[in-house]
Amino acid sequence: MNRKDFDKDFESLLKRHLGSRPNGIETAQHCPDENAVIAYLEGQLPPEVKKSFERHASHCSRCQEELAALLQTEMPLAENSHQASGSIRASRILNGIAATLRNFQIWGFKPALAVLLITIISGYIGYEVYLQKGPASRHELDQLMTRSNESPSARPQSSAELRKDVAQAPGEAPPSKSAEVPSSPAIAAPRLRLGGTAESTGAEHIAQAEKAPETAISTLVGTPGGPTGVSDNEKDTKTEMKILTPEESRKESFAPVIVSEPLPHKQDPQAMAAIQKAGEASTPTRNLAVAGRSAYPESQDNSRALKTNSLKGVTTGQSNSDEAKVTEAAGAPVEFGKRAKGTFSSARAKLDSRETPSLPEGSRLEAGDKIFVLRDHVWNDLSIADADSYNQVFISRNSSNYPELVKPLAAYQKLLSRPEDVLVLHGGKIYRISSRSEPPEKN
Amino acid sequence: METESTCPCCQRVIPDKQRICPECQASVSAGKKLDETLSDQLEPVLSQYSSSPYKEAQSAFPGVQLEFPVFIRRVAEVLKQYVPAPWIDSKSTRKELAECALQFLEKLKWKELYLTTACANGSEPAWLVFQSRYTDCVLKAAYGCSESASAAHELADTLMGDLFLPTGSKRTSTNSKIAQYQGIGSLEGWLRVIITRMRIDQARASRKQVPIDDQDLEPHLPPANSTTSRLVETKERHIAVSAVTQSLESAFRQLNDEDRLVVELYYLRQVNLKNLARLLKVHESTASRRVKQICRKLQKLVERHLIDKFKVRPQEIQEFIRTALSENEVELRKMFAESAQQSRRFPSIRRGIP
Repeated sequence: MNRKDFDKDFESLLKRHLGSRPNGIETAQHCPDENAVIAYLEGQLPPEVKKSFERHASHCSRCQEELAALLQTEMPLAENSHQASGSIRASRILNGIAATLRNFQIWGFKPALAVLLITIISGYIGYEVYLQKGPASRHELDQLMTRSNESPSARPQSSAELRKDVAQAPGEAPPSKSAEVPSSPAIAAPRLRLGGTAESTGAEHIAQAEKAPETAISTLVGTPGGPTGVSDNEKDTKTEMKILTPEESRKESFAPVIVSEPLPHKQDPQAMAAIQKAGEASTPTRNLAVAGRSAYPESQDNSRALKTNSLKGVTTGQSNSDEAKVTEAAGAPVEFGKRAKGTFSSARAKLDSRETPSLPEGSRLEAGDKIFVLRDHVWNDLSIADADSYNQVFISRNSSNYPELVKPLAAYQKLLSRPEDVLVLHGGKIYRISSRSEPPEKN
Repeated sequence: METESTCPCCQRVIPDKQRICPECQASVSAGKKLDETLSDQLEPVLSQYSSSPYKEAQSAFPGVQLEFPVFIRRVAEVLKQYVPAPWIDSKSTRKELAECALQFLEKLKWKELYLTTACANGSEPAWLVFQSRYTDCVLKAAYGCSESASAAHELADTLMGDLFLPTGSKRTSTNSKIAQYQGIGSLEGWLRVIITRMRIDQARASRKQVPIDDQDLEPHLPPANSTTSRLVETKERHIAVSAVTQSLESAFRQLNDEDRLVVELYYLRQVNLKNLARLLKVHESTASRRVKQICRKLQKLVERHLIDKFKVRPQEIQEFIRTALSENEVELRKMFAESAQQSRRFPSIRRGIP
């Protein structure tokens, strides 16, 4: 016999046992009156009276029959409508409050109450602190993470160093430095961020963004955009300056996301005009440094790209860092563009004013295992005895495949980064690296 | 350190150990009960709580007149019957009703108590209001527990007569049946209970002994091979039945009152789970779990009793139960045929309800 059958048998036995038991109370005189019965059914009996009623009814067949018959009918039980007066209810509430207060006098409730109060207060304080310090703290953290990739004390003192910084990708050695670009009067307090370095604190960032709702922060981000296969110092680096709206600046994340796409020069005639005016725009390529989560689908939304009035400064490698071409591209809306234009002009003026002073004629420099002498703005390799006896290779810094061409000359990067032309003997060939587009005519 | 409290009768400060002050104790010792002493204090205190319900009841029954002191006296009687003394808060400096008294008064059906008290005091408008509101209710309750429409009408008429006619030796109007309504349940429910109780008493009075068919008494047992073995088996079965019955009774006594009533109503009176849930004020599934829980508890108690007292081995318990069940079917029905007859429920005559 399994357990289920046994349970059924036990229930059957219980039924028969109950049916066969003699009832202890049979006389009607001992039964509770009708008030108690209906009060019990409606749940209105006081606890003590209820217990005594149950004690009686569990032994009284008459009351059991009565309860069963009453339960069979569809009479409503336990009516919730109290007809108590307002005064009784009020006094009841007051007594309840007093009883609750008396209960709290028991020492056992005090620790629980203390823990509850501490939890509520600390939670409220934490929420208030988050509301006040939360966004600023996030920017401070942003700064900390950015600065972890750079030298703690270095600041560019010269345009060459500045350009090196610009050419350096964030996190690359040598440590990148930051340069502050003076703000334009048209903009409240724009800041340039070079190589992911923020000049302003997060709080200033936010405050300035709020002051200038349309154009708050200009961000100049150095990005490693050059082709692969070049040594670290030879990497072609392109720099782009972008004006972010306050919403975009708030959405900045820690690591910049690089998006490279062709410059929409056809859709942006003003920008093309500016490039042509500079005369040095080598490749109509635009690197969009999109800061973190603020990455708009700019490849699909050129109007948005124009609206942000991206200001583009391109430095093609370190060899022509002195010739870093900062090309401004103005776009709609006009007001926005004016502000950005002014800002960028100031930046360019500062860069120009801080150019590396040219070395005097006859200066010597060591690069690799060779010595170079500056003559007629050309660094000449002293190991070249007879230039005509070697094949000469001309490399223009403006050529699109410049990084590939100077790849064998990585040892002379120190010279290549200077603005003068370089004449070097390497691998049985004489290389001439020049900023010109065409080789000079032989005299 | 000895604390102090106040006398519930005269509100004097007394030591906490004493229940009542010496003067009040003297009056109690002189033959005046404590409850009576307290009731003298109760009515003035109760009147300040009852003024609002009294006005509400007056506005509910505009034509019904009942004096305020009469009404308060009735409320005080009800309170004294259901709430143990002291009804006045002895810890309070002012004379206030105790917490238990307030809880009771909050649930009181003030308006219906007002109406029935007015009826008991001979107010003709009160009778008219009562008849207009509750005659249908009485008739419906009579139909619910009667076998025919004529029996239902007869039952309803009897009840209405009993409600109005004075009872007892004094034969005053305040001794009528309706004066017994105390307002702790709804007046409609109270009338239903009276009707049901009348019907049950009628049925119990006319109940006859049902002859037991001898054919039903034969136990369905396997035939024995010999007379000796049959005697041994019969003896063993009697022992099993006796042990199980005693164990069941012992287990049943260990249940609390409410559990015992639930078991009685469910297994004996065949109240279904839905109605049981209504009685317990719980959901039907909760009532089902409660019944199973009580049954398991009973089962464990029976098993423990069989093992401890009758030295039954645990593996033999199921066989004991089965043997007792087969034997019980005959033996117990023989002994308690009347009790089994009592478990019959009232025939439902809802089809007769108009």
